[in-house]
Amino acid sequence: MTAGVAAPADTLLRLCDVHASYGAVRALHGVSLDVARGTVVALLGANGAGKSTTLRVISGMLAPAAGTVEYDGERIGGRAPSNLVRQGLVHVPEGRRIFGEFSVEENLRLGAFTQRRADTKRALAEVYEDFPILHERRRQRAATLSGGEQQMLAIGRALLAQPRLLLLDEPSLGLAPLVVREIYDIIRMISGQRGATILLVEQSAEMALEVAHRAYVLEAGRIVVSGTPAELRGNESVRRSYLG
Amino acid sequence: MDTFIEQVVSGVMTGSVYGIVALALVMIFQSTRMFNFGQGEIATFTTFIAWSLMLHMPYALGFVLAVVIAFGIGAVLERGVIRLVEDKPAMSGVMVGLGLFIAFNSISASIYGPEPHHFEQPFTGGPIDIGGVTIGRHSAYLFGVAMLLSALFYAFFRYTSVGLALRATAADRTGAELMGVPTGYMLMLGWGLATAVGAVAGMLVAPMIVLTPNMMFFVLLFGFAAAVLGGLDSAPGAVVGGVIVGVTQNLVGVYVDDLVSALHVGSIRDPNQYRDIVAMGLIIVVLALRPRGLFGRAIVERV
Ligand SMILES: Nc1ncnc2c1ncn2[C@@H]1O[C@H](COP(=O)(O)OP(=O)(O)OP(=O)(O)O)[C@@H](O)[C@H]1O
Ligand SMILES: [Mg+2]
Repeated sequence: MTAGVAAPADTLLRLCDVHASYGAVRALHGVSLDVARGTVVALLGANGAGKSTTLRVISGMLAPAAGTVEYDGERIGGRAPSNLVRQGLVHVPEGRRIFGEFSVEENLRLGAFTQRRADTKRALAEVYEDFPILHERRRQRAATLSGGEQQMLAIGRALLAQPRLLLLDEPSLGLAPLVVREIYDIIRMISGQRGATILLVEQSAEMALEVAHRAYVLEAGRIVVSGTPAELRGNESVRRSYLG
Repeated sequence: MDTFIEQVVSGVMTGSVYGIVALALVMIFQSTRMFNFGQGEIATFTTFIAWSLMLHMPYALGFVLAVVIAFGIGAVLERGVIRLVEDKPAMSGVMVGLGLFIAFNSISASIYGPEPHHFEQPFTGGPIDIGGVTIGRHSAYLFGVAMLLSALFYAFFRYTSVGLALRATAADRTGAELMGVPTGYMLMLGWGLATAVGAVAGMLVAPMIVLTPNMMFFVLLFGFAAAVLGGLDSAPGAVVGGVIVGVTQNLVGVYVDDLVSALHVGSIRDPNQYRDIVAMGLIIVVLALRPRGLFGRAIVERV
């Protein structure tokens, strides 16, 4: 994959040879990946592999040092996150970044900041339908929610921005297995019913490979393996490092 | 007893001014988590601008224009000056505030000179009598404006999406950016609004004392106390805090004199000097008991 080759029309996101660093610390050394419209793509890797950094570059939190990021046929490297949210590129970051002092409903209203008021009412009702627990707790301060509830709030809030591409950073982190199931049901629902494209970062590959159409494995800032979930399951070293 | 009620009422009126200044401080704190110590001097400068305008046009028009100009000054300051220290340690913010204080004090003094200027009162005529208590017209106007502004700001922060976005920007700028909030513009807006409110405070204070480059010095100090007392993130809290400071000052001013002579510790030349000490002391006591202020949001973290 080289920078000169135009992406096929069904490619929503394309990274070409992206390098990124935090000051003197280099985190990505030439990451290339494609995300096709309407698919779920998993990005796997161990601690410190550069998964979150990749998402940060895509959503504009971090400008790439080199390489190109193309979203919907447009180069977006260096654009502000708030600007990209308006284009439907929505990032649920590591640590969720819930506004703990705000009520649950205020968090959701913030998610709809870029949307028209009239659309928000209906969208909010839809999110409450999908996440009844959020409706129950809508007046509560978000910091008082449990970890699973906070993750639902983070995802629900992102849905209110009407994402076309949703970046999810370790949505299952720190959650009980039952709650992880619930979150993954929601991810399936978002991909299926809403037709959103999802780039999903996970450390535990098992669940991610269940929903993904395609997966990439990052190691020390480089993509080392890519393929369909079946292909990755068949790969001996991937099995050893990331599965059971 | 009559003195008591009258002192309370006049304290409420003076306190309203502190409340409006506190609102401006809360506004900036709400959007940038910073204190602007230059707020009072910027307010004085915009009041001078209003004074110049009112030489050529009616009060209401001059008032509105001055507020608009103040908004512009605040927004430009944020973009031009504040942004330089945005991600720097809190101390650089304090230094910039002090720098603004000195700069605007000097600008006012150099353009308008140190001599007192007379600032127009919009409502003249005798005091109003409410149930035996007399209230000056200007005081009533002041109080009305303070109430109106705090209600407006409360509703703005609480019910509008822009108000919510401003609060989000202050709480977690990156997080707000990820919600699609253009946080750079929000900071400009916050500073613009705060400077506009400061201008209102200046135009209300000026007729009570006289318009000089230093007129806001103590008003800002007590406004600051009011903001801290009210809880920093609450618009109604700011005004209530202002009223508490105003009333305390007045009562202490009247009764400390009696108290000191009753204790036979000597005579007081100027009770006003004591009232400020006692008023500030009371605030420190309140804060020791309730660090988040009277109306700040309590922390009930889930453990
Ligand atoms: N803010 C930062 N400042 C300096 N270095 C950073 C920063 N964030 C990440 N890094 C470094 O960049 C590299 C990649 O980090 P990144 O957060 O992308 O990893 P990750 O794959 O998301 O890991 P994890 O699974 O632990 O979240 C690591 O070596 C990390 O130490
Ligand atoms: Mg990470």
